[in-house]
Amino acid sequence: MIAAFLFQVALATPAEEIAYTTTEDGYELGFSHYDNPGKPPVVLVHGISCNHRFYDLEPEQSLALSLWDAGFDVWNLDLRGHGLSLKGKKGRQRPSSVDVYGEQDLPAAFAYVQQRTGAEKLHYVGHSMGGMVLAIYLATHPEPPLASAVVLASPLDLRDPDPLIGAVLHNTWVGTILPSLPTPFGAKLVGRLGTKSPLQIDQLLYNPELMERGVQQRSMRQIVAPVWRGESRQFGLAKDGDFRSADGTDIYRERLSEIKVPMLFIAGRADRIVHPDRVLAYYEAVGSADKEWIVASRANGFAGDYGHLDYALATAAKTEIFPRVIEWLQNHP
Amino acid sequence: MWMLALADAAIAAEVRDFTPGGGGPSATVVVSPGFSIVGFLPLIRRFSADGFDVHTVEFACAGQTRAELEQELRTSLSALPPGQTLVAHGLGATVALGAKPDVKRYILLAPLLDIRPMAATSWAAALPTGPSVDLTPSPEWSGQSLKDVLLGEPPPLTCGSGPLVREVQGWVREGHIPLALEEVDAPVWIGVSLGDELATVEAVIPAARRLPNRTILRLGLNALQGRDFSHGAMLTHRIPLRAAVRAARHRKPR
Repeated sequence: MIAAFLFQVALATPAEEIAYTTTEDGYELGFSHYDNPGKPPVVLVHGISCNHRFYDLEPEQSLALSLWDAGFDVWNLDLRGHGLSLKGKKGRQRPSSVDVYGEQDLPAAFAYVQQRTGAEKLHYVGHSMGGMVLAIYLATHPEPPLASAVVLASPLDLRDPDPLIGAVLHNTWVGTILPSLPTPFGAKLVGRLGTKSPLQIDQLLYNPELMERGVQQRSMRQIVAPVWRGESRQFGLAKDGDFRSADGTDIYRERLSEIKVPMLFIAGRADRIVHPDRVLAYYEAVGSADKEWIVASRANGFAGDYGHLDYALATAAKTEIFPRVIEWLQNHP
Repeated sequence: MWMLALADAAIAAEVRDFTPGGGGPSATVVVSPGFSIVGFLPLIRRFSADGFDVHTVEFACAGQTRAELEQELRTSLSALPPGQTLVAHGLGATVALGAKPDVKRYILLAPLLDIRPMAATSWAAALPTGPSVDLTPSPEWSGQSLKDVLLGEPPPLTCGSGPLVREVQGWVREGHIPLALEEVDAPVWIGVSLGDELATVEAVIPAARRLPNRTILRLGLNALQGRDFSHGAMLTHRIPLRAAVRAARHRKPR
């Protein structure tokens, strides 16, 4: 019986290809690829301290597989220093800033996917820092090869911080002492402790009411990557309220008015890492005439108030978030 | 107990004086239209216990528009000692800022400074209204009590003036509250919380930045306060109330 079920799952699930490309500055980037030949490609990009497994934790909880099932060729990217791109031929790949993801990793990833698929245009889905990385890319590529994009909980405006985020932004120097912060270790603890986590850290990351306990535990073991010194340094520049370039000169929120890519933005009412007003600032900064704004909340007809990791990992995300993402991409071929 | 200090037949708003001894700094609490004063008692008691000379302004449910409520508030305040700290919540804050009275400062909890429609509010915006709207029963939306969804822990409601309710419904449909926030001179302290489905952070905070002299405080789990606060809890829970009193006293938040 179990064997038959597993056989059926195997039949319904595509084989995962691990593909690599190299950036102009010599870093190796890994993709988890679900091949769908001739279908429109979509690039998925994870957030800070995360890896590609965020979108593909397990077959039953996978935006990547849902997209594949809906007819997309899925390229689930690990930015340098994360997951499949943690190490290259020359050893550990440490990002020097967040900017390098948008200036080096995305151009290399897009070019590689275009070359492999022959597609002119791609779709993009970014979660948290994955959406900020897109803003960095868009700031220097006003006519990107993107058919559409979905931004899940990405902030560009950090003004009027709450006490916790304010404390983090004012103390990013802690993250620059060592090459990286050992967040995977901390996440495993949170996964094990659950609601008994100190300072209610679990509720800062997700809404425990929306996520199965098993998914909470497995995600905390499998999706977490280190926070790199270069990332901490650049986020430290945001303590005055704006997400800026690593040299401090550019405010990315002010660089997006010419962007015409159709974009869907989703924020969560219980997202304590990125409050909805921070995502709204991104939505409003983008010049696209075709853009949509959704808050995943009970008052908006969702099963509950979404937290920062719930967009891909909440049980209800499969019926509430994934279909919206798929529909957006399908409506913008 | 409660002493009626002023009752001018020419104005519909009722002003009460809650101060036993008097002599403290003056605070006027604006009871939000449609809310019972009972829901405001924790706020009134908190200010009173901190030594404030507390007055309240209540509006009758008499078919007024927002402009008329603003006029009533200005008239009521003109009869009180100058230099009032104006304390308000939700829709009461909208009326208070729209009235632009001459006050020392505003202390606003979960103020409705702007609005971004959601499924529940859009549905409520389409409900039929008469000359007045009985707010005591809660309509059912999507299998849930609308009051619970929007207010979280709803304080007692009374009656809404029909024209005002229709104005609010219009704001929801247009996704905007017309308020000249740039013209508010007095300092404004604003307490908001992520858990508020009516005065949402994405509606209130960008609008608040139009106020020339404002302080915004996000209350809730991220402030290590154990939970986020619904629109109702922003009026009744001890943590937002304590924050409001501290702000009125110019103390730093704890």
